[in-house]
Amino acid sequence: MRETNAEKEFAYEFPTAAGIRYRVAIGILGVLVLAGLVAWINQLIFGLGETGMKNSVNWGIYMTNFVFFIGISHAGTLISAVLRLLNAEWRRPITRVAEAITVFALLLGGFQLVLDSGRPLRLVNVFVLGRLQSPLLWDLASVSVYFASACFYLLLPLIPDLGALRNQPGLTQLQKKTYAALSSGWNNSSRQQQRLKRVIGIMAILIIPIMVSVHSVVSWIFGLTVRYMWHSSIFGPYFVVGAIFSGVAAVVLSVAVMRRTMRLEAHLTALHFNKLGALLLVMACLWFYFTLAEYLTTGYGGMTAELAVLKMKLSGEFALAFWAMILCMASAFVLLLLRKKSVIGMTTAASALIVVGMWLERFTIIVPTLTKPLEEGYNFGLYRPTLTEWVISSGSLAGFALLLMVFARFFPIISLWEIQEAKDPTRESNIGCTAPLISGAGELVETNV
Amino acid sequence: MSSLMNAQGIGGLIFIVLFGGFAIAYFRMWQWVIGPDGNQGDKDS
Repeated sequence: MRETNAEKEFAYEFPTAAGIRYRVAIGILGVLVLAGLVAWINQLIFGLGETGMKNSVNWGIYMTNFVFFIGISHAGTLISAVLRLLNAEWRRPITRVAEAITVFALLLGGFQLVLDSGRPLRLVNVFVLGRLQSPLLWDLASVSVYFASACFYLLLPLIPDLGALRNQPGLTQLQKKTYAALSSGWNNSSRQQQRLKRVIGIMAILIIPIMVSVHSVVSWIFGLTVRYMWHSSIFGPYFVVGAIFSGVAAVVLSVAVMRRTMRLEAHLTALHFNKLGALLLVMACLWFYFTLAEYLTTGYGGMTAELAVLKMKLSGEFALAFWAMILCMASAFVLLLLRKKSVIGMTTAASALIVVGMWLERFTIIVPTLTKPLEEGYNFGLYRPTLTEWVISSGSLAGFALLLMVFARFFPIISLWEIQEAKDPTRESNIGCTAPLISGAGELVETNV
Repeated sequence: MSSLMNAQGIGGLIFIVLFGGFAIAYFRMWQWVIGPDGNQGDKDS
């Protein structure tokens, strides 16, 4: 096969071809996941007493992780659906990463509820005993629907690429069977192409309100409860803004890692980091605005009990987490403002700070309120996460990264037909007009067929 | 209305209807996209 310049331009390699770095990363992540599983089994055997949670402070870092992961999952919707609707051309190489992040973050987010419930079978009670008035029920329903939508929204744009890949040499039997099953019936006819574009368009519109409903409902788990510094009407939009903020940051981090490990420098360029950096800057402004509004209202309200929670965050037991969050966000903001000096490096560093900052934000929203009883005279004591919780949480985070890396190994992590479409917009339709090939070394190249 | 709001077990029903409805709709859309269309020879090759 003779490659043309255009084909070479499209070439990228799967991580196996990238060599030892990918395998080492998979190994480290695998060990962390294994350690997390062992710690979870230990928790299943000995109960939630293995955690720092108690009757009063019954939501700890598992719930923090849940809100954090659900937040990260908003990446796919914003990057893929919103930018697709706005017809932002630069989105094309990063949409699939964002869509995959959505699915895996939802998986790991849902798993945090299993962890938090202690005995997993307790979750069945939500189905069996759930009532219409319970925000937990709304949460389960909206997250489940979002998960189904995200899976479908990931699969749809994959169909033309899988259809082109399924008969190519260099694939494992499992890959061939999976590709064939997911794209069975795809023959790249013009009618199928039209249908695909139509359904992608419908999904891009449909998934946005579903996304907004998900994090609004997650925020209402707290906001609809009469607890100090939870009972706030701006929690819905505040959580949605935070979710999109952390989601975009997660996409930047993932793109930066894949760019290096999978040799995607030609596709994932400084332009993408610059655009995503601008998006982050806008989201940072919104996040600071909502945070200021929330804390200023509480501070000026002057309700004794609420001030006690506020004081815990500003100068008390949770001051370290709170000010670390502010420091992370402020540093990220400065880095984003100055990102022109080194677009890729500074945007990636800012994104790492944002991801850490957003986790701390979730923690400082959830835990301090629970340590303050509604009635005076009681002392609930502090919550300190135990080693078990940290190991399980690390395992969850590693599991998320592992799923993403394995996905990138077995599926084209860049939407090839969409890139081709952008490069050759004069064609009537470009879906599937290029068939990516995997060479013996695992290198993915494209050629017209 | 009040009895509906307080009825235990409504959760399972809502979940089945909502999640099941979306899942079936997505499956049908997927089938519609990749399904036979009588245009088998119109490959862009």
